[in-house]
Amino acid sequence: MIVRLLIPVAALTLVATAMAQQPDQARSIALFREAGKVLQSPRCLNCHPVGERPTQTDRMTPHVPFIVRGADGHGPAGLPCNACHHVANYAESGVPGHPKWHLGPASMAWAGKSLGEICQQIKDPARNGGLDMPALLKHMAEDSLVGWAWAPSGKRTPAPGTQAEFGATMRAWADTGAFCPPD
Amino acid sequence: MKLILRINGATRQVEVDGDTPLLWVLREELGLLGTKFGCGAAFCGACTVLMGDVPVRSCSLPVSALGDGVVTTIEGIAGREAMAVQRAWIAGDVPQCGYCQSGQIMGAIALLKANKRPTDRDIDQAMSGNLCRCATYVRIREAIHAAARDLEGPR
Amino acid sequence: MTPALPRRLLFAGTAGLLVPLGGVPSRAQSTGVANPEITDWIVIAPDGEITLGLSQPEVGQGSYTVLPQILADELDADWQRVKVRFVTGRDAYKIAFKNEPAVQKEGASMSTTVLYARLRTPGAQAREVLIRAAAGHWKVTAGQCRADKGVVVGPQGQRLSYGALAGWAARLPLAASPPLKDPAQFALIGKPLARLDTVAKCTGAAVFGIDVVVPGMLYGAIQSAPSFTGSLTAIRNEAEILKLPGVRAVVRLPAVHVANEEPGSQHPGITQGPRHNAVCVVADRFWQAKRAADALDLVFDPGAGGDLSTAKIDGLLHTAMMADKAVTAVETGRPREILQERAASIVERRFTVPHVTHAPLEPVNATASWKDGTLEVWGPIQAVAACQDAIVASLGIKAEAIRLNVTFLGGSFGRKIVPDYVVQAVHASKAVGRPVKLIRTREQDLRHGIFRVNAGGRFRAVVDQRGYPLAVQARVVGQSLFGATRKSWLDQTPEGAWDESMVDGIYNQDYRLPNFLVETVDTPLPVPVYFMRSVGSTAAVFFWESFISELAHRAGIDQYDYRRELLSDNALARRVLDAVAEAAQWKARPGVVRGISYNCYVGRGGRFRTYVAQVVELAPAGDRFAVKRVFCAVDPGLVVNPNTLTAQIQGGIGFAMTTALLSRITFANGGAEQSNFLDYPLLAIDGMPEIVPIILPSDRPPQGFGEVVLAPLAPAIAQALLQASGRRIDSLPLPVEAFRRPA
Repeated sequence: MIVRLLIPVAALTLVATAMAQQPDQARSIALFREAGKVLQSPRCLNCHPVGERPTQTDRMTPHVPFIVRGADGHGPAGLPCNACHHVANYAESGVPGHPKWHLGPASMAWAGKSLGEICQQIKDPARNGGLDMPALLKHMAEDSLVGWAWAPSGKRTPAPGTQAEFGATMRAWADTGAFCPPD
Repeated sequence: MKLILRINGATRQVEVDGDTPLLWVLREELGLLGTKFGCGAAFCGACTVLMGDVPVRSCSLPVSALGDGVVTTIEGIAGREAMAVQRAWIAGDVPQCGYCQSGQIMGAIALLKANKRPTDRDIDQAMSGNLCRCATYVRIREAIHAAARDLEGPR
Repeated sequence: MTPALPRRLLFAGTAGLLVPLGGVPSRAQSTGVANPEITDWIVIAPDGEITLGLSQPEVGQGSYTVLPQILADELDADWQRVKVRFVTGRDAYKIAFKNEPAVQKEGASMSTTVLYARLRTPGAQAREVLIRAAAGHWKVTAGQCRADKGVVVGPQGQRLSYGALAGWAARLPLAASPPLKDPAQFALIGKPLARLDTVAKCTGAAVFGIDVVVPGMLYGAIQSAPSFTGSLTAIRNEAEILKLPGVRAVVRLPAVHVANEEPGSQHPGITQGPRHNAVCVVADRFWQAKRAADALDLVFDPGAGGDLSTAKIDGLLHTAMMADKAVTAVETGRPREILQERAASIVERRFTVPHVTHAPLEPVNATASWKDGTLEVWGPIQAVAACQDAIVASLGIKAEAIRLNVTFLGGSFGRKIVPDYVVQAVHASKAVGRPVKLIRTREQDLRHGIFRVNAGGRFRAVVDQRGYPLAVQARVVGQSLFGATRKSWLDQTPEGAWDESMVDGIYNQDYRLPNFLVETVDTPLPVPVYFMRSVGSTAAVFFWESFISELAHRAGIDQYDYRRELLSDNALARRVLDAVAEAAQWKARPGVVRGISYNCYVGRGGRFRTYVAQVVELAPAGDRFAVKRVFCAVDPGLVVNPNTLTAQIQGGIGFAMTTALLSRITFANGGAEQSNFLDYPLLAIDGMPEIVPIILPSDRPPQGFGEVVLAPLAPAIAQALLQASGRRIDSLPLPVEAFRRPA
């Protein structure tokens, strides 16, 4: 089942573009809440865990096997992610894949955090991997591992909408001042 | 499709559907039966082989994705780490039913190639993807430590 | 130690055919056995190589080493020259568990305890006849000669090897009952010998059922009815499936009796009426067969049990726990009266455990070759006789026309006693007229597997002034294993029948209880069930020891002291309890989060007594407790091989960890819901505790061991959590939240 966005993203984005460069806190927060439906989907949270262990499936059960982040998000010494996750989703075994498959960094842990906390993290170059806002927006809109969330294969529910819509929402959020939800 | 595979130091040609898991190509086309089928979904590790130094779950790798990757199965293991692991496994009488042991040994070799002196915690993290229903984990742990000591040699 | 070259391990089918592991069976069939056979168990080649017969399959327990060790010791064989082959087809290889016909089978922790006595005599017979042959050759008396590691030594120090003597010895009559060794003379028994199958299992050379290769064989994959009582009504896309790459045939498989049940004791609803309940796709390669089987569009009628669900099963358990009527298994003293008189002070606890399943890592599989009314089968088979019977019953073939070849088993734990998968392979081979290797995927193995029964317990007690039990009522309810599979094993009473496996560890418990009532209630279910390692004791001992823990806790008495007091008139029980407490420094190290438990495993019908006590220590791991260390003291009688026995302690506790912490099968729409290790997880190495084995010396003969260490684990963990947090646990698997550390 695909969760549809409550507000048509295109409409929001158009309005936001028309009012470009005009900080608008309420609108910005509303836009981030829209984007949050993607950020807080199991497709994103499973690989942005709090703690060492990722989760899996729509129910976000602990990853089997027991695996940990490791030094660089690519798994522990001796059992890298690509022992199982290869360059593409593999229907025969049900194991998802991507050339860059790895976990989000601990400083970008989202699972269990509020949308406000996630927002503050995302904006903070000290925690988001040193990305400034343009780089961050490009990452969200174009990175192909982020894009996996919309083509996860198997029984996995894709993230809502499309990556392009998500990128546009994030851009509109930035254009309206990149305000974060208070909670 | 016709594929050229590099397995255990030899070049082998097979003609299979490219989407077939490497596991079944090893077992049924190449007769390498030491690599086992356990779950078909990368949960158990019984099908682990080395691709380079990575302990790949061969049930979850389409054979067409192998490219020029170099695959080693239990039948072809060689080198310092591999021999140390196999010696320690035999000396420690690790197996019970033995079905998971090819995968366990491949996992242990990969661990020791990446980490010369693993702690218990390192072993937990790298080997937890190799399930043993007989639960001979105490001996697996001891054998990995013994192999690591063996590799260090006399001080 | 440096590894030797892999031993050329030998296995045989019936008729003495050798099947070299790692080779192609058909090639081996041309090599008959020409070497002299000294007894049913011993063949000696002219070069001195000794082949010892193994009648019990090797499922991981170590029989492949331990049983030959017994034969070789009495034979005075050179252990370095010993090879092992699987043997079948003779009366000597059959064993009876109690008052039932002898058949060849493995299970119930029986192999060593039964065969220790059985194998010493043929070993001694062979030694005696080899000595007699040498004495005849030298024209001296047998009393002047002795055996020494594969050689007979004469009075002048002259030597003849067993290999040289075998041809003569095979023609001499065997002594009926030659003297057996004094245990002080044992050269091999009692030694921690290395397993004979280790090298093959560390090099990939060991042949499991799934590795059998037969020339010209095809592969089979199945799709089964989702409901246990389901029948196939239609295959909607058979023509399309037949066009898929490599596919040779689509075969409708008849329902197989799920276990080797006796007539009249079938699982309700499962086996009535002929029906097809699975479809097998046969193809050139397994993956082609598997893909095609996945693509089958099948229509099933769910049958009478289509409404089976976990909620329904739990409802039945609860009703049975609270029912007025139950079958009395044991009644001593005046338990009913005392409980009634002192109703206001009754302590009551209720417990449940779910169905679970064996999940051996080698999925069930078999290779069958049906040709002109004769049949050869290769596979991981735990019970030869049951397998043969099932094939006869399903295909109408004569038993003499079947040749079974037993491979190594990649785990079983009771699962591979049930030969449903073998019968399916035979039907597939018969349908296509070619050898077929049928492999169940993990999903087909788990979801359409065989399960261990569920159970519920209701326990009530009144205690004396000191807090020790005065009267106890122990009721266990649930699906009866014997009721579903072996009605002749039920104990009959005027009120009805009771199933000792439901109360194994309770009806036969060792604590001093002056007034004791044990009851059972069977709640029949259409769930295919069979024996699983430690059978009913995992549930019953969890209930029972948890209830004892409750009484000790309420009395404010130390858990060890409380049990020790209740075992004061049982010296062997006390010895094992004291040994574990001492090893764990129970008194010297107070303040540890831990639990202690005791059980004497007696096997079905009380055939043996293996005493077990455990101390389980928990340690903080973040905001949770983890099982850190398990001390396990055992009194198993004589230990033939301390190496393999220690492995059974280590692995048995690991197996029990999975059951205690992780295992639960749930049901919906008539079938099981779990399908792979994602939703039916097994313990991994990160959860494995340190194990401290304590093996007590004993003059008793070997007792059963393969199952004995499992049951005490879960109640000891539960007791540790009770002591740590006051939290009472009433179900398995132990709830995850119970391990949260108190703030």
